[in-house]
Amino acid sequence: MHSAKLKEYVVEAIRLCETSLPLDVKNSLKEAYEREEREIRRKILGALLKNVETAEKEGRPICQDTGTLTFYVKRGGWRENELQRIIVEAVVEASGKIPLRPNTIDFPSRRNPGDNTGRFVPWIFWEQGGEDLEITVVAKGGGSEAVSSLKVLPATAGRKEIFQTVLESVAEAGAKPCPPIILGVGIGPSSEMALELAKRAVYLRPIGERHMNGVIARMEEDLLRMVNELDIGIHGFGGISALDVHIEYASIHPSSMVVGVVASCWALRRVVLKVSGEAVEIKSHSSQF
Amino acid sequence: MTGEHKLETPIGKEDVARLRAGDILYISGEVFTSRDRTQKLILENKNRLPFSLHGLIEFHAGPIVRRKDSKWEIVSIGPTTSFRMENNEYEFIRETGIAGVIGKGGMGNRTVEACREFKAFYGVLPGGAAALIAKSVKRIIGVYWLEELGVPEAMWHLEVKELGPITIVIDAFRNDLYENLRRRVGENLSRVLKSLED
Repeated sequence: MHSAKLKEYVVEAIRLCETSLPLDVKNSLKEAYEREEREIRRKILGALLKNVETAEKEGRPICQDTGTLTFYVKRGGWRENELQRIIVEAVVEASGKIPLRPNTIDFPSRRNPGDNTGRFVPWIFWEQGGEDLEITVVAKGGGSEAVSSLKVLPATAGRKEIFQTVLESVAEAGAKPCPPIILGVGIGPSSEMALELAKRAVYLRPIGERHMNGVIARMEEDLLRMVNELDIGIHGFGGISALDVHIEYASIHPSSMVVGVVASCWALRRVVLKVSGEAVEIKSHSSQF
Repeated sequence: MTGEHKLETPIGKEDVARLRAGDILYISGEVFTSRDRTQKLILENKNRLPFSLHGLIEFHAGPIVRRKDSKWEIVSIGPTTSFRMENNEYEFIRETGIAGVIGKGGMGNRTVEACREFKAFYGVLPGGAAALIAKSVKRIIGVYWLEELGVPEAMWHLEVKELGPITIVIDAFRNDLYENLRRRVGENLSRVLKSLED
């Protein structure tokens, strides 16, 4: 495929990411709405669903905070620097076209270029594997990012200490990250790994899918139940607090276990663009992460 | 029981006095966006603005806008985290005579105090419902400090129709739903953590 053509598809993927919700997220919200009986909560959930419908129909961004754009890329046969250029150009074009809110500020100068690019932004992760080009677009807003947390536990820590760390973080966040949230927990040997794994856990795995490791899968189910027992609820008005909890882990260090906690607001925005030859597929999640 | 209200600006004190924490409200008339640096500029220039803020609604928001035929148009607009404005809100409510503040996430004690003292309310719009909320904006009446503050922080003076659903979180009688939330979540957290011990 020609690079100009690919750029058009990346712009389209960004547009879909910002103006629609992945099917798994939408279905999960609908289920929550159908189960809910209290009037205020039904009103709010109903407004959120109506909002998604309006955004999708009219091509308006779901949230005015169109977030920081992050890309997870399997290169297929493409060169890294060429894909980098295409993605940056697509972000600039999408910013004007959709439009997106100008969300990148060069902080020493306080200058905002107005096109959602800047130093190290958009952030691109180069992934291994796969014969085809696959670009996952994720947009995360400031409200849910404000409640991310990180804690270094001793390596001997177990389920109880991990749960306590996560539950305290969620309780402290309260209504701020626009619940019902989708919660990610990353466990690893270092701080950046813990947070990155937490973010991948939230954004790359669809709602409802459990970890392939049985122990971790069980922890996800227990944590989901406990987070919902906190009863923060829909925008802080009680009821369902989290649509799902995903845990991802890496081997830890003999002396430390780092736990990262990342939340997405209810409006989890993710789109996958898959290109093999001239054939293009746009879907809500990849099966290979 | 949850009450539902539809009010038009300017909103009088007697209407504010009928609102209770937990009620649902829809607003028609004039609101203006204000956040972070905007509040200070409004306070410094409130007598120079071409309209009175009395009885209007302050909206903690940062919109996405676009130019269409040389006129601005709101694409998406939704509430931003209100607590960042807690430091200035008491003075802002006192000095402007606004009837209420809308945003998301809740406010602190000084705002609860201001709502009681000056008969105002604080309410929240569904966070992230920016496409839907944009539909209730009928037109942009004016924009102030656009060059100085940029799009998200500029003061956008808007005409709205049935903006909502707004849930009243703080009423004029010191009720604060999010204070109840913090208490409830704190208790639940202790209970859940205790169950981990067993």
